[in-house]
Amino acid sequence: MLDNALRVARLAGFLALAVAVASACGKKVRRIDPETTTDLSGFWNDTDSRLVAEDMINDCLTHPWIQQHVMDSEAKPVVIVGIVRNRSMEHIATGTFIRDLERAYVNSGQVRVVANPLEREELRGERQEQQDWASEETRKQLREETGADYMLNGAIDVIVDREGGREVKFYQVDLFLTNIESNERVWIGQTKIKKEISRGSVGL
Amino acid sequence: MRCKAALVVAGPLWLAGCAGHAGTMQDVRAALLRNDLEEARAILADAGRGTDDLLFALEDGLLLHYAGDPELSNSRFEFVEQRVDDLYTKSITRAVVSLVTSDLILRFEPRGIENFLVNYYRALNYLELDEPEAAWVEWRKLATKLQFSREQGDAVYRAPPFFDYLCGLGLESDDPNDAYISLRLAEAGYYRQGIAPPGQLLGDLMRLAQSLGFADHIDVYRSRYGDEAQWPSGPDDAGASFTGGRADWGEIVVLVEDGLVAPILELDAYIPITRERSKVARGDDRDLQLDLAQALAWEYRRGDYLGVTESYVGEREISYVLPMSFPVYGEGDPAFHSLAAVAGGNTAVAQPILGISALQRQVFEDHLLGTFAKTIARAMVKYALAAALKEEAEEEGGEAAGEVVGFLANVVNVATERADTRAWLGLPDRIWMARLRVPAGRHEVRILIDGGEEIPVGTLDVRGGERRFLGYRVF
Repeated sequence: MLDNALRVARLAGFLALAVAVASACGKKVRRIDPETTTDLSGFWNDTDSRLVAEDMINDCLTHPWIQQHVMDSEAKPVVIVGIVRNRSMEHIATGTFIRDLERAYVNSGQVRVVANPLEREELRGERQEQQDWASEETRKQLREETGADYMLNGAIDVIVDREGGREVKFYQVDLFLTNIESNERVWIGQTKIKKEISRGSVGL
Repeated sequence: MRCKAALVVAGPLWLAGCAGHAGTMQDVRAALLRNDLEEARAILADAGRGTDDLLFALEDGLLLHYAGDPELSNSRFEFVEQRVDDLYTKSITRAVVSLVTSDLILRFEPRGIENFLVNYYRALNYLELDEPEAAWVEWRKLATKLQFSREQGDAVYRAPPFFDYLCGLGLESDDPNDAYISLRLAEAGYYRQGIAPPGQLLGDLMRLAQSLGFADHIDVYRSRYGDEAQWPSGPDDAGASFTGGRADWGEIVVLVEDGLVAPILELDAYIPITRERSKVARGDDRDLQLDLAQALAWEYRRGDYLGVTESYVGEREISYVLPMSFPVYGEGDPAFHSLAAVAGGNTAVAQPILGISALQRQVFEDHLLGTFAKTIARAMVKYALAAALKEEAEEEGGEAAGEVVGFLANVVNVATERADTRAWLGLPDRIWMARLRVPAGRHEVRILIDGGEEIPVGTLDVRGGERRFLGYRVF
């Protein structure tokens, strides 16, 4: 009799534990600081985008081209961030990287940034519309855009090496700042990221 | 004892609601073969969601797609994606119970390429709704799924090149660089399999590599595939756009879905357990029991137990025979053997570009040993549980009580042992693709099946430089 009671109690305890574990395994959402470094899959991620952008722009702004420009024209250089090509075989959100570059430039206060070619079309369309529909006092003038002095563009490439469950990814980001008038390269930046990814084996 | 018995007896009641999907879909598939979509939907609706609303949403979403209700179809697929996300954290309770009943207790999760097809159909639905930006989101979601899936292993079903190819075609109007990555991945997928990529894919790759300024990539593809003059989309077409530099031309990508995917069937089998092995099965060493289940699974797969029946008990050192129910992969049901598409005065021969049954069979077979081992392990657990119940009943109520309880427990064990035959059964057997370059304007698209008469499948307005997609199903 006592044995049976103990068995029933054990079974009940087991079921209660199973239900508790099951309910504890539901989906949870937790907000985390965007500045936090998170590496889950080994793919290019937000941390890479932000850190590379900041790193490269800091490097760019410490080179002599900027002082030279200020000396020559007595004005801050105007930069347009063009296209950063993805040469890899991994889908990389180059759009966020480009915006990270623009943000790093603007926040430095040392250069002025103008809209890139894609946004420019939209802005021109709006300005054109204003000529017909906006009041005279608020209407923005045509042909008053700020012409950029330099264009920043570049490429991201990835080399992958894999053996068994171990993989090494080597990202190389090359950026070029080019004088729009003369086509002269005034700065070339390069950043490399190497990631090692280990995968556990899965059994039956 | 009562509590254990109640748990075992409750199993079949729970399972009764789970086992009906294959049966319902048999009738739905019969209606589809008669081209009666309305009847197919009615049968599915009558059967209701059952215990698996995800499976219902997959089937109904697909029927709604064919029935011309892309909005509701997408809401079903949206539900599927949310549910798959939720299922990522599995129900421990059901997993525990499945160990003593059947895999049917577990919630259905899309397998193999089924998850990719959800985004394929959602993208086509958005294009039907004339929402290209929403379709781009689906292509991007699909590309991301493929990227992560590719990391899980080298099997073709992890990332079939067709899906990368399609993402490339779908994303070109959004971001040519992203489209190029997808096309590169598609080419790499075909190359890994030792299959020549479609010539038009190579043409797209070269054209985009050229416009993106990746001259070194062009050299790689040339060295791999030779002179591009041999490709259907060769140098004459190597303009900046897929229309061969003709700004007033566009393209229609015709995707024809063919027949019915192979179903998963149920096969009764018997596994003989020798006296020596029965000691392990009834013992306490879980590791030894798992080793035994795996050994039996190997032996079964090797064909050692063909022809074994219940009457084997008592023969050749056989202690008892475990009744099993294993899933087996059936045969796909293709509807035709050759296909061509016609529009704007042009004809393109279609190629079978995705073998759904073939890929799903690989998924099934790759998991088969695990399925066998799990089923056998479960049967051994049930056998041990039935023996313990019988013993306990004998102690408390004598030999007759033991016999009755033992008999009932075995009946329950046999009734609960059902193979998991659930799958997305409304899918086609294969998908064919034909790409047609057409002048800008309105075009009626027709297909020729097995060289027969032309069948109109839709009318599309195509602008210069635009790529349109058209899906059609032949049952």
